Amino acid sequence: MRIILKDKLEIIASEFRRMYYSNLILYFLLSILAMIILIFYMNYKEITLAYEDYTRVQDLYENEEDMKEDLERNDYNMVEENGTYMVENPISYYNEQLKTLLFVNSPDYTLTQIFEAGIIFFPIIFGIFGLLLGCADYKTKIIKHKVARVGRKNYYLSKISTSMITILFFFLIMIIISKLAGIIMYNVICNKIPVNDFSSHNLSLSSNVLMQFIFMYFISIVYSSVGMLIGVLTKGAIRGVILIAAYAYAVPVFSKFDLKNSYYFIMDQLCDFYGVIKISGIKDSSILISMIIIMGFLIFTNITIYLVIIKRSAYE
Amino acid sequence: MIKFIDFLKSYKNNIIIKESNFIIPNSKVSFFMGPNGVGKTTLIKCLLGLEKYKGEILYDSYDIEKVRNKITVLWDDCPFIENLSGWENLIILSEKLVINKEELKSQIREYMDDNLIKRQVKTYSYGQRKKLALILLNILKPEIIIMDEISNGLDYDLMQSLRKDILKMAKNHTIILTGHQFGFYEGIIDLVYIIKDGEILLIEDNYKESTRKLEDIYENNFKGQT
Repeated sequence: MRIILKDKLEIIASEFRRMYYSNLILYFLLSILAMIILIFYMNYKEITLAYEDYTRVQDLYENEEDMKEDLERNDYNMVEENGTYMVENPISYYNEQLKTLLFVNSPDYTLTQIFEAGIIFFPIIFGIFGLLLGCADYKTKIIKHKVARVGRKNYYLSKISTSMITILFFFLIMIIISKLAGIIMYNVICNKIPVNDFSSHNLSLSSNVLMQFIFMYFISIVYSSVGMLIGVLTKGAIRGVILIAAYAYAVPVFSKFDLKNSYYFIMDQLCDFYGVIKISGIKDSSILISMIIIMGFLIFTNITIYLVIIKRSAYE
Repeated sequence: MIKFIDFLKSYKNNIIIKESNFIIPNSKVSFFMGPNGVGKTTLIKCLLGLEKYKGEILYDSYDIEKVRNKITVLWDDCPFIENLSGWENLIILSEKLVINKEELKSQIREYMDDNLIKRQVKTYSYGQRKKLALILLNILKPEIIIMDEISNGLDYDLMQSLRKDILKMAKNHTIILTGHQFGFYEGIIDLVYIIKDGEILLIEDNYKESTRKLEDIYENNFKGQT
């Protein structure tokens, strides 16, 4: 038993070394880092602009005698006029907006914000990750050495295990970096904006961060499997990258039975999207249907990957 | 020993190797001979359990899955990860949890210098790739070695050195060879099998003592087929 486990670990270690020396781990960590920086930068931009708007409107209120009394009001109205929305009492509107944005930029919301961003970035990041993991051995023909040494079943298992462990590793690094970056960013914002003036928000989180983490990890594995399937089928990276990018960004949601809709639907239940990332165009569904579809996709892709590895000649 | 029991390989209705019963003994060098397309590589794939077949192939009464990590194949094209160095390839393919770099370096020194091992494999010549494959073989320390057309593309010096290696390894390894450059195999093989008309036949069980040349065996059996 111990020998079998050692053999399996050796195969996985070999996969990790391959990713390390090919700089695959580095490239994907950099992609995740770029995503984190982008999200923080967008949030920072949003909050500084909102604060500028707020101070400008505040100056206006203080200089206009008949508006001064509105400074004490906490309510505002949105009025539609010829398709355009007008805000009555904008000082209160900007005040509310700043409270929301400060909450979004606070360390309490950091991870949720990153997971919300994942809705856009994870399918492509982890889809391509799976793709490269799937096609690399076919491309170099090293598959015939590997399947001879470990067998086709173990080869499949090593790919899946490597994918799952690496994605977990990426998630842990992502959490650490974003937590640290979140604290630094919040301090930067505190130096720029009097946060105590906007601290009394009444926002709450729809679910805890652990649930969001579990679901995002799961969905990343699903997309990695989809990528791996494309990789073993096409044996090349370029066509696969185009396919994944097209699916992630160009193909619309068709119905509630669509993988993308199911993913969006559950994310919409788990996250609040108070920040810069918003989702729209979700078809009404249920958690159960959405989970069945996502699970179905995971099972289908894995069975197909397994069958391709088992049935296809490693010598083609 | 590797025992073939009622072994038969076919693709749909096309029989590649007819029902055969034979053994490949341990610690001997067995050579399989036959024209291209006769089924030598198919036989290797069956040996490795990578192709379905009828009958049984047993390694000292064990199924391939139980002994897989004791077998290594040196392929004709020596596949490696092209954009990585020889050193990185060896670390990746060594299948070890912990790499002993000093031991690895001493194994490399037998075949390559420091500059060559640090170069990307895509810059290697055919012979240098073969050397890298031989280093990997020494690292993996298999009990059974299969060499498919190993002599192709080797220069004279490397051929001589590889012959010496095979003779050295033959003392405690089971070696299975296929190939067409008969001069290379003379003097290193113990058993000669031919694959003729779909049948696997043992022609020589102690070739080192035989007076026949491999070329003559080939001529006698396959004249006009290639």
